[in-house]
Amino acid sequence: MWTSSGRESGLGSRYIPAERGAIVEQNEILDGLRQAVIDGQREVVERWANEAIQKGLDPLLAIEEGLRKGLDVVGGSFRRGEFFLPELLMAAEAAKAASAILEKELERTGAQTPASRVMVIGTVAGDIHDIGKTLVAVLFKVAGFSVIDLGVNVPAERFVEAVKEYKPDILGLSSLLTTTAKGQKVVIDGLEEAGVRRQVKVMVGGGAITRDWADEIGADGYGEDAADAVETGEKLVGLL
Amino acid sequence: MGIGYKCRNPLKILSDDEVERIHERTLEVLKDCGVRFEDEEALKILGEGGCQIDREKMLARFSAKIVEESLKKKPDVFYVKGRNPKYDLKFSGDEVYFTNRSAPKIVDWDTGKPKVATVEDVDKLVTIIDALEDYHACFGIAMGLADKPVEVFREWVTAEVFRYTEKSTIGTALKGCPKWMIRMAEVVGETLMGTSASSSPLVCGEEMCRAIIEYARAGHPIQVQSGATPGATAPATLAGALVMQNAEILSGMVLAQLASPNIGMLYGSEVMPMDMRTGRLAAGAVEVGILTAAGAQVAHFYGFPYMALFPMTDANSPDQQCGYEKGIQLVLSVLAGVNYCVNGGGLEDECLLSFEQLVIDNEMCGMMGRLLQGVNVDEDSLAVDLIKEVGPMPGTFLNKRHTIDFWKRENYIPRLSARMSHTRWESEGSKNIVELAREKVTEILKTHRPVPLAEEVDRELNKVLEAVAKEKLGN
Repeated sequence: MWTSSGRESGLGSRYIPAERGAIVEQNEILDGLRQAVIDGQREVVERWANEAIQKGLDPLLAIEEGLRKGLDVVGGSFRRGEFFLPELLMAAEAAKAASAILEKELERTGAQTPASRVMVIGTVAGDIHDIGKTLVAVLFKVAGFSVIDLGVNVPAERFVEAVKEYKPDILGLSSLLTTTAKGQKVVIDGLEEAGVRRQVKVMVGGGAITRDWADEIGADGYGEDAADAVETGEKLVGLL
Repeated sequence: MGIGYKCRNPLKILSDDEVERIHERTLEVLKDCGVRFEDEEALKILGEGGCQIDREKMLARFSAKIVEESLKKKPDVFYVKGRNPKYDLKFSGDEVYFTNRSAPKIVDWDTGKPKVATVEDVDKLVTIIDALEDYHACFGIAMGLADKPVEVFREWVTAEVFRYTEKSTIGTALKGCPKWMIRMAEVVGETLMGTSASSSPLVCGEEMCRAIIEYARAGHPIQVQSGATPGATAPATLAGALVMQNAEILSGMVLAQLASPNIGMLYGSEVMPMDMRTGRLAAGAVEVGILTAAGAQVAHFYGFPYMALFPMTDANSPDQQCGYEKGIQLVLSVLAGVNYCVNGGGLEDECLLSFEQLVIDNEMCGMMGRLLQGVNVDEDSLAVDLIKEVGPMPGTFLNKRHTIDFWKRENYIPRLSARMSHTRWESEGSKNIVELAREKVTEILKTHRPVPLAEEVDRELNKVLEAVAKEKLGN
């Protein structure tokens, strides 16, 4: 029913439902969510999310055991060279769409939304390159982060505002050109001035960016490529 | 005949029908979808030229008529000119020219590690390019300088190129730079090749619009280039990427012709697929070679000279991978008649420039020059009378006048590539081509003196650099 990566779904004893039939139904929904994420089918996963809500399934369970597990499978397949970037992107988009539906339900019932690490990312002012940044965003999403992508050509003030607003664990700054790399320093200085520099880990990356540059401007981390960025990011927030 | 080579019978990788189809579908994209031009003046020019403009979306749609009319205005011949007329590049259809690449970092001569170039490094690189016979022009060299502020590095690099070689060069599209490039070119008396690159999919960004308009109006031929990435900013299929590239380039060319009718234009491409395992651009891929050959064919279908920023390699050092990736792409480009081939010195996608690789690529270009000459078939070369005269063994051709007269013409004599026994090679130090290239670099830097600028011209150039610093740095 789903691509086995040797992982058990592990429903956990805290979710013992009243009837046996309910267990089967719950499993069916969770399997459906998981598989639709793996297949990158946004409409299907949205339907399962709505089904989950209708059947009274705990949205938190649906997110953790359905969406999250689906992304874990996809991440594993990518690392093994079975899945590639397009599959990753489609899975992340499907999971995001279903997440939105399930989190709305959580809000409605007043329950707590799942705590996940938050990342804000964008390409600095004057630079419109976006593929690298988008790839990093996707890989962080697959790794379990909630990612707010500010887009390209983002003024420094907007990054600072976003740190205040979203309180991210990581701020990612991308710059491809030697001429716009300075913008990364401008953002870091802006965070200092606003008194929020210590609240967030700043990572920098991009074609013209080096580890030396990252050290020079006072960044906390540097990613050589998208995969390296995620590993570094996870280390920075204590996940590795 | 000036410098460079000729390609008389370009390889056709696509059938004529397939090229027609690409052309027809491109017109469909330009009519139905259009291209975004992120510059007010560009939109105004296109609107006045008859394009359908959506001001809010900054979108221009092109009818087949507008495209075809603009293309008719292209000149039959145009020139990019260096300081010395012997380095003028004529573009009339079948010329093939080679140049070096540019990169954000160079390979440090002593440590072998990547580093940002200094002005002194640039001077050395340009000196080498000036000395090497199969670089017919000097491309941008460095995309950063360690010892100049980032706001002015571009103008500085260009000034050093003007100073250390008589060969022609390019004008960059970087924001705020075209007008300074144009000023400097006036001072030294050169005609630049203006460069501009699209933001795929289907966007002509502000820098590209400004570069096209300003260089074209100042009389410098303009290269209109697409940098689409199949799989990411263009369809993953090569044919779809060719259509995308074509739409972006043709739309830029319409702008150029409307801004400055009859200006020379090159059809340019830096299209590399994305490797879906990592997101990196697959610069050394054989697909790039295929796309380059196909791109040349499409460009020539319209009657434009074709410029490619290839061959390239994904190798991080001048090793075997570098050799075969570049070799394969180079042969494909050259056989397809690439007119301006930006090649020399590059490693690791377009991230590194190597002194040794410059020399090695020059050797490859020399071999390509011979490749383009193909097989000469005439009475002399068929040598039938000689064959009959010499007859069967022990007849020999070694001591014949014919051999003396023709062997040099028929054979490319390698400048560096080793041809010797293993024993001899060992006795000479077991040097590989990279080490030989290194020795050549040292020799060039020791003995080659590029022709300097006249003193007054050099002074004027400095004045322009001062003006650049004043505008961009406020001092």
